[in-house]
Amino acid sequence: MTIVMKAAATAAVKATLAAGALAIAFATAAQARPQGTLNYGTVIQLNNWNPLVKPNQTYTGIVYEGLVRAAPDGYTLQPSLATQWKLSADKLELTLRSGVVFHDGTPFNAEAVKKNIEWIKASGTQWAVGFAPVSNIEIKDDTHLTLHLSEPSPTLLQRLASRGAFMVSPAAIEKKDWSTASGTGPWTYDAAASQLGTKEVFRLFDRYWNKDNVGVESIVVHVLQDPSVALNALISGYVQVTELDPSQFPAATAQGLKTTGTPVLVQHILFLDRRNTFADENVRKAICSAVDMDAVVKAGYNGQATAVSQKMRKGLPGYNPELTGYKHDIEAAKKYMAAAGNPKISFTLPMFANNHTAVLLMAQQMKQIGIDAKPQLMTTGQYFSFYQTDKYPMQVNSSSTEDIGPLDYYQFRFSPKGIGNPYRVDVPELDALAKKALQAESEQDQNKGWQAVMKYIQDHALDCGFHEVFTSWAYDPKKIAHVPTTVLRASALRYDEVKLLK
Amino acid sequence: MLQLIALRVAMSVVSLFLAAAFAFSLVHLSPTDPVVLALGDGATAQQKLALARELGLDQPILMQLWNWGTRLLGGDLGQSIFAHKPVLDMIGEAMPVTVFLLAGASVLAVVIGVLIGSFAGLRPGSWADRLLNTGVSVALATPSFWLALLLGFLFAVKLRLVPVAGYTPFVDDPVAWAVGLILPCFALSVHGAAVISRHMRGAVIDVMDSAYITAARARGTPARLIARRYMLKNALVPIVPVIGIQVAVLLAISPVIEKVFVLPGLGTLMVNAVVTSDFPLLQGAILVIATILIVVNFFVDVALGVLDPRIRPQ
Repeated sequence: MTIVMKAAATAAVKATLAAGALAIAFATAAQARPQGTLNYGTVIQLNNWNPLVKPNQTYTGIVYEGLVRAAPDGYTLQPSLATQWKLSADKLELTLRSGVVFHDGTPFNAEAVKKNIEWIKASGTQWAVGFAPVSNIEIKDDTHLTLHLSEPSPTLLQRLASRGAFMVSPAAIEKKDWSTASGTGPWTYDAAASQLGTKEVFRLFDRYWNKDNVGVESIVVHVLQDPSVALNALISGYVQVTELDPSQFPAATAQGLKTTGTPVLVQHILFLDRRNTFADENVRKAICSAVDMDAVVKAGYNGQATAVSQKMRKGLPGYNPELTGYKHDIEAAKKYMAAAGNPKISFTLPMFANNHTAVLLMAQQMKQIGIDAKPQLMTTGQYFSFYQTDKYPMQVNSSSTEDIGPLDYYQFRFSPKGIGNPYRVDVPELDALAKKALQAESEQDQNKGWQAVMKYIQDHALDCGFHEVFTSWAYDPKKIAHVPTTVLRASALRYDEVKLLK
Repeated sequence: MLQLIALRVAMSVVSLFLAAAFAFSLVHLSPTDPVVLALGDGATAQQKLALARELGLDQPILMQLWNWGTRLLGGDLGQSIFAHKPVLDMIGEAMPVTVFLLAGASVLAVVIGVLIGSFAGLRPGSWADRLLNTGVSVALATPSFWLALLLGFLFAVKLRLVPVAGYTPFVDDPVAWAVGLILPCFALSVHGAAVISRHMRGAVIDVMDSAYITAARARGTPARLIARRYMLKNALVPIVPVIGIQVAVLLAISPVIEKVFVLPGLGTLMVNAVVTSDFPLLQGAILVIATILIVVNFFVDVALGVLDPRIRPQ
């Protein structure tokens, strides 16, 4: 039995258990009806409802749902619009939930899933590559379909659990009208009650399939971009929970509020131009040794980040316990530079509001070994216009697609056609290692294969400076017991699990 | 007077035309590519070209300006790249908020400024004058952003007299609308009130030193009557242009106040458009703000003509 089939079997058991638990919940009728309004503060603004071009699921996670859903740990899969699944090397068989409708009244069925996957594949967004192996979609009936795969895709289910695979009403896809939202989620978007750029209102969807397990009746998302304003809003009761800059944490706790954080992204130094500027492995190793990640995360993210040894989080396939990452060692860095012939390297290093302190520190540390990284502060719009292009040889960031699993990381960042490989640099040895991992029969061999990929990346300093960045929240413990979040899902709550205290 | 109005209308039209051309040029100088931002990381060159064509961004800049200008004459400001809504509708939603905020703050600034300036100018050198002068200096030196946060903390968080943030439309609840705007209007007005009061004080001192006031005093005219009949009208003449400039300053500060009090006004809209490089929205917002300023200046010029016949064209 392959790793994927075992995973499918485990998932099926979990799905059955979850369904059983759900049935018990229905039978006992212990769950009260959704009640109250969650007032949630965020720095994120809503611009439209196309889920494929969103950098987070702050809003889309309220109205849309995927076929499967990630548990709070970020990778364990839970049933959502699909109740059962079976993944093998050449196909994914799905059983869909019956009786589900989109907010616009369109029924959710196998045809709708097919339409969505075809749309994602053709979208040209970062999510398209994840569905490239889907060669054909076979519909058996309204609730059963099979995705035939042209090559093994062991993380396909994780991809289906990402914000890039939310199910959208086929009518909305057809119309390309993103001014409103038509998902299957617990709440519908109330455009009339919302206020442009400052407040978005959501009401309970009467025909939601799991209405009795939803905590709140309505959600109002307030855009609170200034940390002091967000804190004032929380203290005064304008919101019960808000994203909050960690610099405000002491003031928040002094007022009796509670704070929390969830790792949402594993960022790293991206040596994009390994064709010229960073072609020499010794130069890359020198930079990896010169940058003191412990100092960077402490000063650059107000403690709401952690330096980690590698891209894959513990528990994910490919996590290699032997990897330690590059330790801060200026002498070693200088030796690497000497081995490279002390080349004169000068380049512009882009940064934006979210990472500018960290990037400034890194640039200073690189100067110690004679590398002239010129930090350039950009607006968020400017920054993301050039991110993943061949305009700047180095960036410090990451894309959510890379965090899905080792295959996604490799495909996105290192495969010759990867979106995160704008200089189109080939690494044939790494390609071979990835291929071997993909073709391995047993779960153990697959994992060993991905561990070898991660080791190669470290040994050749293709990436380094890994650090988990957190989204930080503060909340009023008198109004909300805890803030349900998901690892690697930025700026979003598990809204259906929010329960207000009386 | 009609001649003055006709002249000012003609000047306003020219200003509006220049403002439109400036708004267009400014936006297109930005290095940001809205196509990349709209499509995301992995869009193919074909997809980028298709969207650029759809938005008209593949055409030469002068052609884009011509297209935008001709649509503008038809009352069409285009469509927001990201919100997929007509820019005119979005501005229509945001405009009342900024207009109410600006109007409220301007009235407060004028009333407070004229009262304080007159009171201090009628008592130059007194302890009250010195105290008010110090207060005015403090108000001038206080950043509006910080003041707004401070007022919010005091009146909304501590005293719970007004909401800390948000906007209630007038049609939904007139009382909540008014209460919600008190603090933003006051926070916005403080700087303008300080400037107006300083100018008003100087004007009052000048007027009170003039020969006709001395003559009125010699005739035994009561001080209150002198202040009301002779001083106020004459002292206001140099203040009116100051008020016009201050309205422009308040409009410039309003995005900050909108941000602190989370108001869905033009400032918020414009800042969002800048951040996302939503060219059509940004052009529209700049043009509307320029129009507001041109209209305000038009009325200031006309008011000045009413108050002082010497400036009317001969």
